[in-house]
Amino acid sequence: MPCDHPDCKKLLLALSSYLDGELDNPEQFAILKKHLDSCPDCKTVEDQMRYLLKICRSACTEKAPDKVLQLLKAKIRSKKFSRTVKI
Amino acid sequence: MDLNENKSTISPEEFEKIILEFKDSIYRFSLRMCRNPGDAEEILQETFLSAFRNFHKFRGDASIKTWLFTIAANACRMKRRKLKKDSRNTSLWNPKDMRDNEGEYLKISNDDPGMEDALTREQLVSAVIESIGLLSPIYRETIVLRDMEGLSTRESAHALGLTERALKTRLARARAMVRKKVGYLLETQNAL
Repeated sequence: MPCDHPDCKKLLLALSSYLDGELDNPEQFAILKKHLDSCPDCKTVEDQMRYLLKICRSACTEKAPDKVLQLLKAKIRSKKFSRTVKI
Repeated sequence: MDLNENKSTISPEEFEKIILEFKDSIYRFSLRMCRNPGDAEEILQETFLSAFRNFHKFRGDASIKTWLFTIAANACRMKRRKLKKDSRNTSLWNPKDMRDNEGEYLKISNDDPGMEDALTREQLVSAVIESIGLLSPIYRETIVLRDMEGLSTRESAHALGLTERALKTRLARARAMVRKKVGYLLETQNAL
């Protein structure tokens, strides 16, 4: 659960950009960092978010079915598609 | 071949290289957005056939990858509109698979700590994927492109026709919603 910091909700919205290293406003960066260092609840949110991003990045395992690939190759080489496309 | 080179012509052989490089990413994106393998296969085909047919329109101001995701995202939106009233459109990942009889997410208990970690992680991945699948499409597409397929903020924004600021806002909300849904599972992870 987020803490009772008056700007907590706002800070947590900024957390997303903070985690991406894309929080451009130095003042906002400093406030958020200071808050995360002193608030265990928000620190937990940060940790969970970091772990969540790791999970997301490791979840991409599906491959395009081979049958679709063969179909695509056949189509682009077919009479209808095989001519070189020009402006 | 320089895939970012602005070319007005392309041969089938050259285009096959593009297909091979991006087919899996486009398929996964379509799968997450449509939540149905058959529809994802259709989108995959539509995306590449459209890109091949309209290659002369590729201006090179974005990468080929971004351009392909733009085409795929538009195709997914059109597909969703078509399927809006189709009740047969079912989820690839059935939430019931992860819940017990009372609808609670399953918690693994196993005497082998190694096995417990492996199963919990597998369940966690499923829970995260399911949670992302339950987001509304405008949030889902941002988190899939940015966090799953690894596009940059600029690339994701370009692919979805958004400003970077709008993309960041939607992404922050999407991440917060997913964290809220699976947060209690994340709390069980010793890795935190």
